[in-house]
Amino acid sequence: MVENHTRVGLLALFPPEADMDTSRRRLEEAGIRQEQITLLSPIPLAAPNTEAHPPFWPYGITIAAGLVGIGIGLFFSAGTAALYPLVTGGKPIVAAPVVGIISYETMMLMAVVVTFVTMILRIRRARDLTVEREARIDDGRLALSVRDIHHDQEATVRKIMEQAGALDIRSVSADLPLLEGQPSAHVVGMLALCCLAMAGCSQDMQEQQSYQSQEAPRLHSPSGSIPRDSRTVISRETLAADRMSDRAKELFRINCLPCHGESGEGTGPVAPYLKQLPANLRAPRVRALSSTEIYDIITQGKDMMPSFLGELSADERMVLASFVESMKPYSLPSQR
Amino acid sequence: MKQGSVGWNDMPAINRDLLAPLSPGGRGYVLLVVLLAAIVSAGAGAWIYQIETGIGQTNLHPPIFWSAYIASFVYWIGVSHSGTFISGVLRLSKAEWRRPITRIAELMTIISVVIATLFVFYHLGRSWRWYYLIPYPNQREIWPDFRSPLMWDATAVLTYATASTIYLYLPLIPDFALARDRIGGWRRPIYAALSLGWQGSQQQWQALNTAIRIITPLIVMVMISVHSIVGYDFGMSLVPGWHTSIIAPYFVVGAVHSGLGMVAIGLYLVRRTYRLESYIRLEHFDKLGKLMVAMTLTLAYFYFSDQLTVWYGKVPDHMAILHSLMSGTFAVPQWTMITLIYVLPLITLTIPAFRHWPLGMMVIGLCINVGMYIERMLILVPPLAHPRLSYNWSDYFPSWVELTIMAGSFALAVLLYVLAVKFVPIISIWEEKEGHLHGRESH
Amino acid sequence: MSADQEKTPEARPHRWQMVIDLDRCTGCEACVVACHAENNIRISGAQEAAEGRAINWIRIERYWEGEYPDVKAKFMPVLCQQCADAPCEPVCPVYASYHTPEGLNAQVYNRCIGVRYCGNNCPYTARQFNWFDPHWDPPLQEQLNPDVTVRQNGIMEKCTFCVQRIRQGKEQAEREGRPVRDGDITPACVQSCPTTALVFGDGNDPASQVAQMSKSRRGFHLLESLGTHPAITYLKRLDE
Repeated sequence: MVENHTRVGLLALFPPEADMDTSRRRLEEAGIRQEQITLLSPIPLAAPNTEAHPPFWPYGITIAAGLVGIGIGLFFSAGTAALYPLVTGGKPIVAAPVVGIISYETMMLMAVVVTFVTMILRIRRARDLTVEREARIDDGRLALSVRDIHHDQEATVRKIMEQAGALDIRSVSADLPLLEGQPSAHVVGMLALCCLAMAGCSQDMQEQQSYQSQEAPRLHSPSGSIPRDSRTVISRETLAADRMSDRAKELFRINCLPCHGESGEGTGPVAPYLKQLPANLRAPRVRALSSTEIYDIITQGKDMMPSFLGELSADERMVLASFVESMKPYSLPSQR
Repeated sequence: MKQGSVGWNDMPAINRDLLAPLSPGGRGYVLLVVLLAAIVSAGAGAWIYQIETGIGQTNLHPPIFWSAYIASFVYWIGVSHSGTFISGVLRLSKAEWRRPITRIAELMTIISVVIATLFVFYHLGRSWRWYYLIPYPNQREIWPDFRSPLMWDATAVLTYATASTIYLYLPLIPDFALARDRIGGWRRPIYAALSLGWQGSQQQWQALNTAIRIITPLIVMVMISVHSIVGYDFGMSLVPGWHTSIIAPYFVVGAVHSGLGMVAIGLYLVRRTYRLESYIRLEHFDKLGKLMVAMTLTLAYFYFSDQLTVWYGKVPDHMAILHSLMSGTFAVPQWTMITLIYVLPLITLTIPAFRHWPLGMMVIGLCINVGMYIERMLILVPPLAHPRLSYNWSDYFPSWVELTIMAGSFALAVLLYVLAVKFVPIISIWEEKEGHLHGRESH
Repeated sequence: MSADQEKTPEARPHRWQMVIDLDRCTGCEACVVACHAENNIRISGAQEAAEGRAINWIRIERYWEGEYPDVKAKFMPVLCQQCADAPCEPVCPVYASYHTPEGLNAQVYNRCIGVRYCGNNCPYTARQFNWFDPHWDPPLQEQLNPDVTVRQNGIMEKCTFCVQRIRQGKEQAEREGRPVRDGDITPACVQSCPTTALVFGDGNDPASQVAQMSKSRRGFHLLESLGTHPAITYLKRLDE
């Protein structure tokens, strides 16, 4: 780190006809290593001094990536089918043409993407070999960058550059902040999370329109009709015999009496403790209700009164409704 | 190292000319964007309406379960072949005249892939369940079935979209570096990020050129596979008229045909709008015209082979379709299509003078594209409309919802292109410079 | 009771098959109505029917033969053929359409995303699509069969051979500790056919009526040349 203060980089701008090979040679004679020198150009130059054969390793990476891609394709087209061997229409669970097609595509995908990523890494790594970007090369110039020069050598290098016809020489002492951004991994991550969250909920067709078991009754039978086996309602005619039966009284005593009282006048043992008085079942207001409406109130509850949907079966509620309906319209002295 | 100084001195002018389109547009530009955005929102509205109410908003009915949306998907995937074909094949064959055209075509490629993908979503009955197609371990405890050609299609389109985006991006890196240095404002950090710290050193050029050299043949292979697989979507079915082995190469050539037509339109418009006559020259239209003739002939050859087999074979199921096309319900679109994609291009493009007439080339490109859109519909609908049991033979024309969505998507494609032209140098600047030098040196 | 004996009812896999005797079909469409009632098929209405979108899992195809006045109507009930090598199955990208071990051509509504490839690839056009959300004019929604899913907008559906009845029949047999007998299970269409043109049963049971009838010399399969190996055998009409 200390050395950085004593070392500088030089960036020289040349006209396109300048003889860069000679300058390069002279720089090397002056003790500058080859890897310290980079040539910047607006278009790729046919470089005579680099090796005649381009290196093989980038191709090797692509081929390796392609092989990995084939593996991915194999996993998806053959592996997942073998994991969940579902038969469809006479096609084998693992079919060779399918495996071939999918593996071909994933091979290409991996090869292209990995080649691309390799190139990005190479470009970004090569950036460190050069002192700085020289924007003026795009106007048809060349630039020679010599980095990491010792202070003693700076004058020599400068001189060589001037002799080669440099239009302008800049000295760059420290690493300048480069204008660049990182691809935002956060954004990608958030998107992926959203996709995952979406995948978690699948509610389509869970709510069915058809009448399901354990479901509250929806409508009342037309009066006079007799359902075959009642899951929902009982017509009033079938209840005639049940009216005032012991069963109704028993149900009333258990479920209604605590609030409405034995006589139904709203004077049950719990009533004094309630904020709102229970209804007087013998009042004209209640007398005006049909047994169906009373049934609905028992089913759904009203004001303070809770719903008895879960407590009582439909039959029991209907029996109670009939019982309430049959109460005498005016108050009688309690028989206690 | 000797450089012809004339070519090098052109460079400031090239920079100026080719960066000029990136400057903010005038009132006409804004008006165009607003107009396009309005059409796009109409299409978006129609799509929302369709999702809310159901696919019934289309005019589909049994036995026609696929039509306008899938035809559009095929068409747009076809248009996307413009970029990969022009720039892939021509780069591979080192054709010098590709230089000013590649970027125009490659931009079309990725935009049309996006539009094509949208059509898949329009088409899905439960588009909100699209992720069932993604292979990942999930609570449904099931993977997608890769035996379905639609999964091949999904994989291929994914590969193609990724590869063509990369392929567009690679030659853009040096141009983004140039734009970073020359164009200020809010775009500067974006260009800076996209140029990956490009300096123009020989090591970077080598990395870039190696990548381009490797990816170019790959993308050509992907391009051929992707439209073949789109063809297999139809070829793998039992539907008479689809179930034919020529469908894959026929689709590929048809795709390139419409792609080249679209490039002709793009070339004409870009050249006229930005006064790039000295870069997009008449020779480019001429070369493009010759390619289009070759494609027209190949496509006509495939088409003839296919229909001849059907006609001579006289299998009733197939004949019903052929009859409906040649003289029945679909005769009018059929003959319009044949005129637009075979007859007109062949008559005009074989005349050298015509190929040097940009406006004419654009009109022929338009004809080919309208014709190819009709052609895609005709591949889909008549075979579906004539199933083997003649009980429910029927007819089809797109509904207003389908037409609005198609128009909206087309407007979206144009809008994306119009916006992209303001952000991406529409002609590859460094390749153009390189071409100038090569041109001088060879003289 | 040994473990072996317990297994016996299920030892032999079923292969559900149907025989349709065209000579007995009068085209009354009782099967169509019964199917609608049993399987919660949405009511399409006149408008959609005119657009060709009326959903029927079984339909009576009517063909006219001869020239007026010597003209005859011929009827052919067509439903999902429950093919052994079904073209609709492998094209589904999400396994919504797959083959059950009993040879049924199942459609899993929850998996379907509505790409409709299966609909195109069915040579019998037996598959139907839900173009809109289902709707029943009240009080018809109260008669929906709770054993059958009401299908939502955007998915494919088709004849299931009344899989809910098959399941009930098998469960009943299992409770009673006996194999499923021929005639235990009848799909709604078979049950309602007044001329018994439709016969349903286990093709793997050589004694069953359906196995006997499918051996008839009149037997043929619909679009047999396609090699889909349907589970439905048609019996040729005995003309005059």
